[in-house]
Amino acid sequence: MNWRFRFILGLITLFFLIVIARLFYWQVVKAQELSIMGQLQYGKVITTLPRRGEIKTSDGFPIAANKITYRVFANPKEVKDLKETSELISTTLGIDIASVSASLVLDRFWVSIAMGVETKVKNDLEKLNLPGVGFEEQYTRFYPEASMAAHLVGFVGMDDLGRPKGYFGLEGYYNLLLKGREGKAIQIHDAFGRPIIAKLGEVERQIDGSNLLLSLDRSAQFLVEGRLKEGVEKFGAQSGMAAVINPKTGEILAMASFPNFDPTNYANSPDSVYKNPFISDMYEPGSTFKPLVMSSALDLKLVTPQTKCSACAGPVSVSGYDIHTWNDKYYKDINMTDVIMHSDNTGMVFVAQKLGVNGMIKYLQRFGIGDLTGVDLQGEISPKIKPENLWYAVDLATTGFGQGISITPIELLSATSAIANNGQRMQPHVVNGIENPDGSTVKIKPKSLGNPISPETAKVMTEIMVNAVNKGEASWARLKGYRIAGKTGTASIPIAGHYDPTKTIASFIGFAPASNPKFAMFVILNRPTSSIYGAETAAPIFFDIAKDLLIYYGIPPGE
Amino acid sequence: MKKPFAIIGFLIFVTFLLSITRTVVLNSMATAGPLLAKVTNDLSHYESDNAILGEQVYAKSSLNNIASRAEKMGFVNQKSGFSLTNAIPIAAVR
Repeated sequence: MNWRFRFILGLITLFFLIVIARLFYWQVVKAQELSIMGQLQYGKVITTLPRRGEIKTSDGFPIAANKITYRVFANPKEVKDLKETSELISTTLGIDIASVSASLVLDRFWVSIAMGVETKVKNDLEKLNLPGVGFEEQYTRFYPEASMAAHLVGFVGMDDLGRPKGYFGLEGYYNLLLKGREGKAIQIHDAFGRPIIAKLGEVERQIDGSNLLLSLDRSAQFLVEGRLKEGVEKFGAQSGMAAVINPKTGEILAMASFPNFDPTNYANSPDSVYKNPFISDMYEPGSTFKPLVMSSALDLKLVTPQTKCSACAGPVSVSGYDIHTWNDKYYKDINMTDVIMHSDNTGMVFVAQKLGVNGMIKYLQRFGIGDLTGVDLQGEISPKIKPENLWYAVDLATTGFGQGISITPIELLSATSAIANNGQRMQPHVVNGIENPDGSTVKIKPKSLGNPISPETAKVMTEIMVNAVNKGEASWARLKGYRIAGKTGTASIPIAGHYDPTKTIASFIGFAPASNPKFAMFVILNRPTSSIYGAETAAPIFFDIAKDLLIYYGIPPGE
Repeated sequence: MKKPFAIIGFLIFVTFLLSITRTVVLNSMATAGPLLAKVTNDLSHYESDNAILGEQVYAKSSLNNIASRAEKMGFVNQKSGFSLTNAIPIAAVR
């Protein structure tokens, strides 16, 4: 008898264990799935879109904000007079009557007529009291300063699923932070499928996007854009760009390019203008590259400012190529200070040959040439420096004066900023901090990218560049009373295996005040027509902007 | 054994009281619904108004707007430097 009791007890225990296991399966393992199935019987999951974070300039002004617009929708079954309704909607919204009427004849309960409708237009349409026509509030990107800093900010378009997505510039680079997280909620509907209350409950809480706090100075940006646009038109250039950076921190204070686009109506501009040429275009820098090569040789103590060039009496022949100066004037025994002042190509060949391929590559890499600067903008590229074994003697010679090597403007500005900052190169950046939706702020500290040259070399190079501004080809444009370090550039443009004989890229790079720089700036004009030289085109724009900035920052003459 | 009339009576009383309370609370909640909806609508309306006003403030305080208005009013660009903050003290010059 005893074994029968145990057998029955075992069977009952097993039965209960099976029941417990099954309950565990339904109540724990499948709980969420069953819960959603249950909810779907009386409601449906709706997605709530978060508010996109704002982008604020250094004065706290939102250069990219959000505004309320409306989606106009209709229930075609409730529309009484199709023709009249179509006409009124089309006239008020300014859209094609055929598309409105095509939507209203559909056999549906809900059709979308238009999106992004402004409040005033919505109010006008609402006053008409059209049966079956309704409005849904939504947030749309709004740029209060219109096209200001458009290349730097980027724009917001749609992704594959029709949700807002940032492209280019900050909107693209920081899209994940700006967009926030979508929320999910259950909407209850009645037996006919009509929603009866807005929300039953939030399944996932919506998190709004974070705000970006920029180093960009709105006033400086405005000044730079005004002067650059004026210069591009005055000198008949195809395009132009300029950027201003704080060399001590790497903060970008202004960055502008023309032609630009309106981020709100970006679709009206050709795709080719969306990318930021300052970080995405590569070019041969020409003479603005000379300070980097010269400071490398100074740092290695291969030359001093007084070193005389023994090969500058006439054109230099390298591997069968004759290298001339830009104006075919030659100065026998010219010293290094004057090589930069006269922008003497033969003098720079002399310096490059002293550096050698190994020294040249080593220092260019220390200056960050051939590497991404890491600027927090979408679309940065960086042409690589070719390996040492592929350098020919003529490559070394032409690199000395900035030809035969491709870089991006941001690379050169970042490298030259190191000269302005006692030899220390800072990572260029636009975002200084991030403001979370809960109100907390995360500061982003400036980051050092190393010391390509010593502080002593930087000081010597600064004096050489000040001399170039005061006595060089661009001295006519300089600001009297201020010590500004700078260098002109007139770069040839490579086309189909040779250089374009008539067109150039004119540029000017420098920093001010030379002894304690508040900013470093780079101005580039693409194919100016009134003059091909940087000293006659980019330099006056540089000094016009520098004057505005020195006044704006309250820096008196003499510094 | 004494029958627990007092306890049974108390339980019936409590049940009755809770039923009444539940009816009152539900009734109160049912009538508060429209009020709650009104408050929610008002809040949404104020948020929308705030966003629209914010947009207008941003548009009017944009530098592009200020500069074009200043130009119309006859303001001109500052041509020379003037600083009250960074001037070098005479003692320092000597």
